Amino acid sequence: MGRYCLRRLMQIGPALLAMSLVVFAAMQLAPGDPAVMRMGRAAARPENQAALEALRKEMGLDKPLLMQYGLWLSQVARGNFGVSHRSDRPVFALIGARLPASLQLIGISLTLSLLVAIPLGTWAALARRSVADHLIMAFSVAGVAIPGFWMGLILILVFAVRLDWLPPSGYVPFWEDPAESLRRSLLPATTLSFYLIATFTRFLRADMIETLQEDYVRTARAKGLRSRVVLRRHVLHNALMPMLTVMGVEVGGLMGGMVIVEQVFGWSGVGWLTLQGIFNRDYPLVQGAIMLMALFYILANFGIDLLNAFLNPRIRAQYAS
Amino acid sequence: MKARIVSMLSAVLLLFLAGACAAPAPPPNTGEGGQAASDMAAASATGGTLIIASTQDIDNYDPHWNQLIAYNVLVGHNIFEYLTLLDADMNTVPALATSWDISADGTEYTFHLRPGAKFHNGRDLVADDVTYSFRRLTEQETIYASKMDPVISVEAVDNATVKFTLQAPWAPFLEDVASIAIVPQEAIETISKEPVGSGPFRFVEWQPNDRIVLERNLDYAGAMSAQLDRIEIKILPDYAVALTNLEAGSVDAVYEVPAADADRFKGRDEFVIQSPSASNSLFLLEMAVNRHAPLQDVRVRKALAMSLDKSAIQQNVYFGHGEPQSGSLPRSSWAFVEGEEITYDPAGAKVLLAEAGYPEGLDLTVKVIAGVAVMENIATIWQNGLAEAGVNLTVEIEDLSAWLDNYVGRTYQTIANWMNVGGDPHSMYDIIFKPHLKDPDSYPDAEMLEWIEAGAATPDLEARKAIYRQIQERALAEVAPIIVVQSQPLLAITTDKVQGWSMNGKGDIFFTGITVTE
Amino acid sequence: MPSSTPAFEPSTRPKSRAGVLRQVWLGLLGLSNGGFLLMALLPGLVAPHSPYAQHPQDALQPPSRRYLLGTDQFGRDIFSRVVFGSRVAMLVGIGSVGLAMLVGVPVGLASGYWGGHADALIMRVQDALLAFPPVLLALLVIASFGASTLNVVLTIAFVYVPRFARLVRGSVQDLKTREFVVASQAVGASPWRVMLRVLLPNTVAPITVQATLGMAVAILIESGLSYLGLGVLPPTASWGNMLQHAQTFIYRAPWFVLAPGCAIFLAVLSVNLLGDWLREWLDPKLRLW
Repeated sequence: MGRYCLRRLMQIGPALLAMSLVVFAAMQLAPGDPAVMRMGRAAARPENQAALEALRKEMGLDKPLLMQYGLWLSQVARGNFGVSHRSDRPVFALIGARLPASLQLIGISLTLSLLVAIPLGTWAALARRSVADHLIMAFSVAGVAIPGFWMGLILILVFAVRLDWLPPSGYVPFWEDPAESLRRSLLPATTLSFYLIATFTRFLRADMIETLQEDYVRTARAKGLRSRVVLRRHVLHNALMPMLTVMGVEVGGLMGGMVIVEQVFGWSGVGWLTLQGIFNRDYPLVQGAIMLMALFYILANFGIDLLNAFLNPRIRAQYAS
Repeated sequence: MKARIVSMLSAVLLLFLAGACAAPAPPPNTGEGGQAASDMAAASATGGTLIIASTQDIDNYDPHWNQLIAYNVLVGHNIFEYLTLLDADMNTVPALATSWDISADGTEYTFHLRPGAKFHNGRDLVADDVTYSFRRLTEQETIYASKMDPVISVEAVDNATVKFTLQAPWAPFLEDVASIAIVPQEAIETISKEPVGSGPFRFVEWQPNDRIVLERNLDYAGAMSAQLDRIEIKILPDYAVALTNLEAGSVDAVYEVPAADADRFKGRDEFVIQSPSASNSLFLLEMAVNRHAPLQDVRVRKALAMSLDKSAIQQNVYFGHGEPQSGSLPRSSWAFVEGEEITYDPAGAKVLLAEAGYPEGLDLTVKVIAGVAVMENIATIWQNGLAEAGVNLTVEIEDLSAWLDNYVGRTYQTIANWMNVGGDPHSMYDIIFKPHLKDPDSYPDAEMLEWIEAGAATPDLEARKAIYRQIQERALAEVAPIIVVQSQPLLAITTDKVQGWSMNGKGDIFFTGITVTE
Repeated sequence: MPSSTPAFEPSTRPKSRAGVLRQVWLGLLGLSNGGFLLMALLPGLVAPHSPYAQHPQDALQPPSRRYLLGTDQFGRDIFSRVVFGSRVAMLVGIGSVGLAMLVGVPVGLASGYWGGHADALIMRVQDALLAFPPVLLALLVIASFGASTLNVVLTIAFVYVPRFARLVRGSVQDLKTREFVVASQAVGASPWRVMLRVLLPNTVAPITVQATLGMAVAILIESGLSYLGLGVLPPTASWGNMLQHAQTFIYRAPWFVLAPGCAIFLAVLSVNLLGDWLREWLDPKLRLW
């Protein structure tokens, strides 16, 4: 198990490095001198040129690019993502303050999508070619084609504007008012999970159909095990493991979706912060936020791989020394 | 959505475009609701907590450097004091200076400071603080440095008296000082993060992108004592969210509400749509005349103005609020002169263009700020009218910083902007007209410049009116350097728990008069 | 990327009721894709009004005979704008995927054929790009270079290059050992010839499928970016930026929100289904069940 961890860790190393390179390069290509932006309007005045030079030095902008990259990377590795141009506060702290809102949304969406997708996918697989199966599949095909933000707008239109059941927007911290917080999460989380439900259902169904045809399932059935037991003990268990991997991949889509859905619902999370950074040309903030989201994505996948390995006797056996 | 991005910007419009800033007026001592404070009793009054939404976070608390309207409305005038202020009717009234004397020749202003004024750090506010604050403007070349242009010297006569000596009479001077906050020198190093002033509220904390908290200054003993115990400024992503929170009861007030959103609250008992008695906000299109040859011909400029479908703008951008106008001052101004309105007539514009030598039409650009829906929408409507007149208008959407660079450098053909004109007409011509008139690349006009100077340097009101009539008439006849579109509504929405709300024509809110009942 | 399982199961019994349904299904599929193509190529033929013509007196009108899907805040015909919006969608879809193919396919061919260190390096870089959620990558690029239609196309192309390269590389590695490839190498064909004449034609099927599915995602990403104000800028009508405006008027003119979204949904659905169908048609092996 340890060896497997190590191997996977060594794989994500280069990915992280390459990713940081992409983020760094994109920000280097952006127009504008970071020191001027940090200093603001005062930078235009001639008597401030010396101070500007000093600031450049302080920010390491006079060093060769490769060295700047190295410096930035070592800072990032220590959790220092720089200082926002706009608020002069550490990017890490700004993101940290917004993190609960986003994590709440992601958590509820993932839970919701699993709660819906697992029964739907199982039902479709067991009742293959039935009307239910066709309906579920049609839903899942449609689900991946609906743009998330539009889905959100429609939900607002129906549940907030027409029926007036739920508020159309705004995040309330869970610790301030748990009930209201959950109530407000409902529409954005549904929006986010729609795509996930469609994807998960489709995948689970295909995966279960395959598992159902495996020898051991047939054997178990032939032995006379009750089909519900077979289903739970063998089929679902085996089909859910590949699901984990799909979930890992979808976390990436979830973060992209999050940026847009936070916008639709005025959810002041990390995605919203990132967009604000883009509009304000607050490059350190954008750089930091995107780097952190990408990091989260890679680590989530790493974690899922480990979990998978832990659950899967074959991989465990392979690396047992 | 548009409004979402606007949210970050629209509240934003810069103060230096918007003229001077405003101030909290004395509480309207109407006795309404039994809560209205009489000055001394206010020390123990509890007016509750006001939670007001802002779509704009504030990241610099230095009153001499922050230009944002949001800062001045929500923070500046609550934490700091100013010698004078503009009241709800746009009159200049006493504030930190309880009275003043003006020498007969109009060149010496002596201000008498409020006795017992204290900074939040406990130190008495004295005349030296006033001289320090005004000198800081020029020494640090802050954005308000030009307010010192007419001033030769500022000195402390005694602890409670300050004397300004001007080069020549300067009529707008009392309004000029209404935009300069008095700051304590010893706290200046940290003022951009932890503002210390002498105003009716003190700064408690700023949580970036979350909230700004102010609380009542218990030591405040002036006429403008606050009744609210606490003001929480809640930073929300945009107006849609802010209004949702208002409906859900988690904020008490939303200000600068776009007209498109305000109508939803009409006729609902639990909300009040607030607006000042008259709005001094004008939407403009500015032209850098000499940068684009066709603009040099007055017939072309007139044709451009005739291609503006102002009734469509009033109807579909402002949803019936505000009023179309062509004159360059707010209708409520004492200097306003009714001129001939330029009406929508694209066919007539086409004829004018042909006369000017452009029978085939011409190309034109207009710069707008990304996400400021009003600008983009007006430009789109203009584009349509211009197309009928044969002008191909390209709308250039720029982010605030790029727009600002171009605006300040006048590197554009036309640009959309708005101006919240002060009580004195000078602010309009000083801020909007002068840069064009001085710039050989825009619209140099030495005579008009002289008029503008004369308008400010003449003490006599009737004489001033005559001068501003001249300026308005020429600006309208020449259609330069701006095309005025219409007056913009200044709307705020509060719940019915909020009492004593009042605003002036620049959108300033007078927090000291407000109480919130539970 | 949408998940890799085909959406609908192909039926193997052509004469049955399912066979008839399948014919109807294919007809619908062709019709919707053809419809979008027609709208994109000849919008003037379909749209009753100009997408820019303003009718201020008719602003925010509900659907009527004159304005099939109502009007926007300037009194522009929403239906006509939706029709013209298909241009942007198709342009971005085809442009970005085409560009990605132009770069990704040669890279994949070369690295699959030659292998070695260059291959390893290219694949590592691409792994990193693949590890980036597409929307985040797009945001990063737009943050640096600003919003414009061209930047959206370039960004999505950038996202797709590694996907094409990987796909082609995989096929090439697989094909390299096959007899006909080995044979053509044996008779002295140059590497270029082998790559272009032998390997490339054999990768057409997976490339086509990937391209179709990629187009669907490109349309979704474009609409999302335009909705955020980071994509196609007004007054050009794009489904995404129409929705951006529509949201402001959701209380006043709910129909404004419906039309552009339906267009995106139908376009993405049609292209997706076309991709699924192509996959089955081009490569019967992929029929899983």
